[in-house]
Amino acid sequence: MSRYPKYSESNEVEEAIKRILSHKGVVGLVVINHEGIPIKSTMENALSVQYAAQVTQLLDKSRSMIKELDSNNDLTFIRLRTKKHEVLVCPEKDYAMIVIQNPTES
Amino acid sequence: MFVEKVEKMIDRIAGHKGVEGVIVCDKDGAAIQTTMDNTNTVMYAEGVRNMANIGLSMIRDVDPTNDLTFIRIGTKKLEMMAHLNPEYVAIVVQSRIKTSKN
Repeated sequence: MSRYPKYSESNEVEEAIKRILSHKGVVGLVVINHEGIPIKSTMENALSVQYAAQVTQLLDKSRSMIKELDSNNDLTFIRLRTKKHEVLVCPEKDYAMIVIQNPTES
Repeated sequence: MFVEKVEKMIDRIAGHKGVEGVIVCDKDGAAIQTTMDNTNTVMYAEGVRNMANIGLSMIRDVDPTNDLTFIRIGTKKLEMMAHLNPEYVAIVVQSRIKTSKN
């Protein structure tokens, strides 16, 4: 059973998500839990689930690779730039946030 | 000569404050140029290439026509950046400098 956040907490979350979405070029945002399930998304379900699954795998493998290099170190973010867009991943203890954006050309 | 140009570029990047090392490897992962010692070169080259490969398969799974060009992995202590090309991978390892929120 999920714990519903207090109204003020969920309001802050909504504000943060709105702020990110208002950035020029942001295509979508997905928040996933520690099991890799999207709990919040601005994209269609199928795509969100696809990103969620892929990113969870990427995070798990990256974390173990980093620990292998240095056991005192830990992952803080991943940024993937592709031909079409940029995927930003910010992992936290129990969640991860994925943002997809079109990077502005310099 | 082209090699000189590349070496100059590597020296320029390696000279930046905070940069721990610059590695250029070929598509098989063998280091062509490096400013780090052998152990670290092999360690980072393998680690970053592995993560880049996982990132690449992630991108392709979502959209097979897309391709990964650049990956940036931030950790508490370091930041590892890799530019991916069909023929080579250029990796820069630098220590974390506090930046403003994105």
